[in-house]
Parts: sequence; C-alpha cells; structure tokens
Amino acid sequence: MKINELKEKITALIDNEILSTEEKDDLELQINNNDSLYTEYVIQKSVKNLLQTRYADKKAPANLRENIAKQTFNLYNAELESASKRRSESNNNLYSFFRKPQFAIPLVILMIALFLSSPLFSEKSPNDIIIEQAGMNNMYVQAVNNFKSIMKGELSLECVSSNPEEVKKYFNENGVAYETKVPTFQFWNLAGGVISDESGKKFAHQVYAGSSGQILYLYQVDLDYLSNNGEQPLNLSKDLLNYIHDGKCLKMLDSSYKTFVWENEHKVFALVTNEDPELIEDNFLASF
Amino acid sequence: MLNREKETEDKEALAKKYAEFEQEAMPHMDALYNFALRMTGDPEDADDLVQETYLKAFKFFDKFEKGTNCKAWMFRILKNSFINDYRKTSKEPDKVDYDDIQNFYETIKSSDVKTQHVQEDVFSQLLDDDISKAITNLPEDFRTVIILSDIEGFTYEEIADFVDCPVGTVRSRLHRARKMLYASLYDYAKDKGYLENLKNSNGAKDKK
Repeated sequence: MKINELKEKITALIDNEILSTEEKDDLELQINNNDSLYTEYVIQKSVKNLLQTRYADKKAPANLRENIAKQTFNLYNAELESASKRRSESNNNLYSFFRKPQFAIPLVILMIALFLSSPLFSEKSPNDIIIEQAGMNNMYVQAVNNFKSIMKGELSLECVSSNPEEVKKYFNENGVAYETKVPTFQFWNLAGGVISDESGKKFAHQVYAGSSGQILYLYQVDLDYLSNNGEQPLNLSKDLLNYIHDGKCLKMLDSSYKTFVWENEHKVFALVTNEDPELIEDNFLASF
Repeated sequence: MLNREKETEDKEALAKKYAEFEQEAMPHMDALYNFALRMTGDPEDADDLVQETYLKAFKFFDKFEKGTNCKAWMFRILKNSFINDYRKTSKEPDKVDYDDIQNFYETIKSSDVKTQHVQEDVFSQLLDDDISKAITNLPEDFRTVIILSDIEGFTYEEIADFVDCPVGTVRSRLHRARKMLYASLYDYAKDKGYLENLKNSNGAKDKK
C-alpha cells in the first residue's frame, strides 16, 4: 500500500472508522515503526483533539430561539385550523348517500374531484408560500438578499437622487423596458435607484430611507418577466403568483426584516424593510 | 368513524407531531446555528438561515423517518437552504486546486512535529480567535467536512450523504483539511513565539 493511502487510513483510524481489528492492529504497528506515519498520526490527532476541546458550539442567541419557537407554534396552529376547515367541509349532506352501494363509487370519485379542485385544498398560508421561494432567480429571494446587501453596505445605488422623475428617467434610459412606479412619501426620502441584469433583461430597484436608519428597499418587475417554471428570467412560485393575483399582499413579518409582495398594474412589487410594518401598511402600501 | 372523532384524531396527530418536533429537532439549534455562522460568516444571515431551516423542517416533519438521525436530517435542510439562498456572491463553492494543497501541507517537516502532548500544549496557547480564523480560511469543501466530523461528530457516511460524495472522498478531504489547519495553526504559534517553548522540551517521541 502506498504511503499516502496509509496516511489517509490514519485519519480513518483516529475517527474510529476502521472496523476490522486486524486492519487496526496492522496500521498501529506501522505507525509505531515509521516516522512519517507517526508524524501524520500526531498531526491528525492533535487537530481533532484541539477542535473537540476548544471549538465547541456556542449557544444560539435567545431571540433566535424565541422566534423559532413562536414561528413553529404559529405553523402548528395554522395546521390545526386548516385540518378543522377541511373536516367541516367534508361534513355535508351527501354523507348519507355513501351508505347506498349504487351511489358509493361515483360519489367517492366526485367528492375527491371536488375536494382537489376546491380552493381550500390549494390555499396555502403565507408561511407555506414563503418557504416555497428558492433559487438564485427567484424574485423574492433576490429581494431579501439585496436588502441584506444594502444593510451591510455591499450594494450601492447607481443613481443617487431624491427626485422621482430623475430616478424613473435613469431606469428608462438604462434599459428597464417597463413603466416604473417611483412614488414619494412623507416619512421616508427617496435615496435613489439601481438596475439589475438577468439574462440581458434589466430590472428596477429603488431605496427609501427614514430619519432613524429605516431602509425601505423596493424591487419592481413587470409580470411579463416572471414565471413559475423558468421560462422567464425571474421566477416566483405558482402559489405566490396566484396569491398576489387575487389582490392580496403577501406579508412576512416574523423575521428581523419585514417583506411585502403584491401585484399592481401588471407589475409585481417586493418591499423589504426594517421599518414598522403598521407604518408601511398605512402609508407605503396605500400608495399602490 | 364520525367526523368529529376523525377531527379529534387529526388534532391529536398534529399535537403529537408538534411534541415530537420539539423533542427531536429543537435540541440541535446550537449546532445548526454554529454551522450556519461558520458557513455564512454573518450572524444575521445565520439567524435567518436557521429560522428558515426550522420552518421547513416543521413543515416536512412527516417526511422525517423516525428513529434515524434527526440532526443529520436538519443539517441537510440547512445545506439546501444555504445553497439556494445564501451562497449569493459565488454561486459555486470555491474551486480548490488539490495539487496546491498537496504542496502546501507537504512543507510541514517531520522534525517540526513534536509528540502529541507537546503539540497539544503549544496549540493550547492559541486564542480561540486564531483557531476560528484558521477554520474560516479553509476552502468551503474542507471547512464543511472538518466541522461536521470534528465538531459535530458526524460519521463519514453521514458526511458523505451531506456533501453528496463518496465516503472515500470524505476521508481524503478530512485528512487534507486537518493538515491544512495544522499548518495554519503552526504558523500562528510560530508567529506568536509559542514554539520557543518547544526548544526546551524533550525531543523524544512518546510513541503510541
């Protein structure tokens, strides 16, 4: 056996991953009789011991524990509620027909078909919908990541202006091929805009700032550039697209940042912010 | 069965799921948080990643095979979330030139390596920050296996499942990771003068 193979076996020996006693004894003998193998043993063993003794896990922060406990409890309650709803839905007058053999099979088929096509079956909670959002081309994921980059100072504005017309002009002149909405607000000042590129298509992002460090990051995309199956440069899950298409705003308020996603005038907007969500709903969202 | 009875049964099943989740998944939060922190390098990202992992895990807890390793299952969920959402600046893990690594650690001479207890005495003088920095500087492939094995105590098979490669590759990466880490720590110790103490130590090797 080559020396390098033997050295890798020493790693396995230290980790108790060699099951055969014969093989273990043989390797230990070779370690004791060969300086290079002994050196290898010392290196591997001392590093492992060091990590085990000096690099133990730290406690997860208390607020993280609380958030997770709260969120899983909320999910549990939502599932309980949804189970009750489904049960009461199936408790209908047709129940007695199941007892008659001539109706039983067609009715079972009909009930299954009705159940599968009912809105109750397909309706998901906002938390469920958020969980479905994944991948680098997902608009929601991008919005959250961009907000975090802004907060860390890793993403800067290309057009710095508090004038909405200037920001809109910047979007138009730099390849954003859809009409953008750049409103102004009493509580927050427009800070400017930045453009992203996905497969050659340009997308508009704007940022507002409050007087006490509040940041409101808005990502707006024309519906024509969004799909749920990768056919367009950006995607959102089908459930999310359906949810906002019904006129609802998807909100996620449990995290350290708050997210809002909604559809308006053939565009999808994603707002990520550290601002008070009530203020956002009463002032920001009301402008759309 | 009456609907009311069925509803009670559903609720009991959900309550059981909630209780089992609390018992099986919650104790791994520290490990998941630390792993997330070491992978993202940012406490806020680590918080979000762990929260997302727990929400997904609760949602799909029915899919968890009872009696198997819940910690490994949770780590897999965390890894998938990390790949999807958090490895944003570089979509792929750092590409590693394995030959470079070979050359790097082969520079450690046998004569530099003392007996195990002397070696551990030298390392014990290192600050936690030095150790932490040395781990963070390892390429992602190597950092992952060494954390999972030496800190989290996963078996090679569990790590192989996690990183999606054969057990032999895990062993090889772990072997190299420890040597790279040793070389870094050796440099730290040298820079800080801890190796001077070795001059007076007994050079005889207390062989195994």
